[in-house]
Amino acid sequence: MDEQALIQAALQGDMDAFNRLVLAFQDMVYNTAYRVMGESDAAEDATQEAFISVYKKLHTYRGGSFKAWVLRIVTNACYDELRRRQRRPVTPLEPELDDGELMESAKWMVDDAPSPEDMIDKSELDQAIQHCINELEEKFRIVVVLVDVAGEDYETASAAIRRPLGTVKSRLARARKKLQDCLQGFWELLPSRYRLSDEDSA
Amino acid sequence: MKRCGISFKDMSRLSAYIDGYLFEEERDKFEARLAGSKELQLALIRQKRLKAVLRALPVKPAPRNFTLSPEMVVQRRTKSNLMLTFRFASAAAALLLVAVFAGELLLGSLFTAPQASLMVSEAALSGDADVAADEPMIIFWNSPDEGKGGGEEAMGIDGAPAETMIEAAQQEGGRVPESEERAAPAEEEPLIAESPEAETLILGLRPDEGGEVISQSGSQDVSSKAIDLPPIRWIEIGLGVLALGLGITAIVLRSKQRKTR
Repeated sequence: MDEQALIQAALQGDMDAFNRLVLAFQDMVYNTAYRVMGESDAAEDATQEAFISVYKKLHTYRGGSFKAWVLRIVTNACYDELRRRQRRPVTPLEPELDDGELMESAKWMVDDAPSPEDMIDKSELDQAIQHCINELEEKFRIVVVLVDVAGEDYETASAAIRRPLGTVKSRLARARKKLQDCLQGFWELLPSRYRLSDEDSA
Repeated sequence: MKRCGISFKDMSRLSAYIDGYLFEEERDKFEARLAGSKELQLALIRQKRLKAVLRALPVKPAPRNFTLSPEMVVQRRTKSNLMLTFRFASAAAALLLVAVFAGELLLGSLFTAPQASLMVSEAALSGDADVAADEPMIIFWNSPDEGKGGGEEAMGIDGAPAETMIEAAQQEGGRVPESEERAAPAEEEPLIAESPEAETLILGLRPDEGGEVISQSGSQDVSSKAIDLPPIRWIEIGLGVLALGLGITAIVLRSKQRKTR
């Protein structure tokens, strides 16, 4: 069954058809949400919210790129989740000392041995890049994630953020400039072919 | 934004050039400039590397399936609809309250002013309603003889000033209030004259009677005023309570909804 047929079936109330769409898009949606949010829990929340919104708003889909339409909803879900987390920052679990004072950090909870996930996914370079992405303003972050990380074209990014192509161009240029400056601080982590300093490129 | 002699406009063109988003004419011009500028060439290399670094980031696969069940959608929709209903109802009640207030302010002179003056006179003559209904109230400030700062003479306890007050009131054609009659000389108030403890009276009342009488009339006044609120006040209070109650319910529902997320 192709995408449009699944959409039509979902519009008729076929939940299985809708879930097949979910399975087809969930990696793309989660990855985008993860790069925008910068952490897995928040990305999971945003992804789930995004799919619920997609289901509820499916009747408003008026053709065109379904992927761009889904990305627009993901973008909004990410913005909402970011704002929700800003309003209610997550308090880390911190143990109390005998006198009732809180310990300064929760390092006691950390297992010294690296987890398999850490070894495979959370390389230092990955963390450094994610750190620099997180430093960007939301409006720059979403564009750079869509175009440079997810590899979407400007048109899709423009449809996702509901801004003209020119805005995508200028936001992307600014985001790249900021990322470049930020990553200068992590140059030793970059493979030689990726190093961004003037000395290396000269 | 200018760094290493490259303007933001050039950075923007460079960024679009890498992605192939420059128009043909613009691209040719930019390539000509690029060929003659070492700085632009370096910037181009840096941007290409950055793009490569970002594209090399590992794709994070979904940690679980995000498929929906009918219960998930229905439950969320019901909660959200309920919360929206309460929120709008609360806002509507608040708006209505504001409208009633505004209407009362605008039309106040038509129907609340006479009511207010009536309430004032009732409050002033709480113990003597009949007199208030028939005649205007007469108020004497200080004693007539060049004002001695009030005190016993002004209060009419000493005799002469009180007589003057009563005479003045009678000349005006008004009836002397009972309270003043009580304070008048012996022949007009036999109760005081016959009393062996006249000097111990406080405002013409025996100490053992006074407290009781005052407290009774006071409690009656309070209860009658509470009941006599105009209907518009009841409407306002009702709307206020309704807006507050619905608003609190909406907040509680919203916080519950957030906790379940």
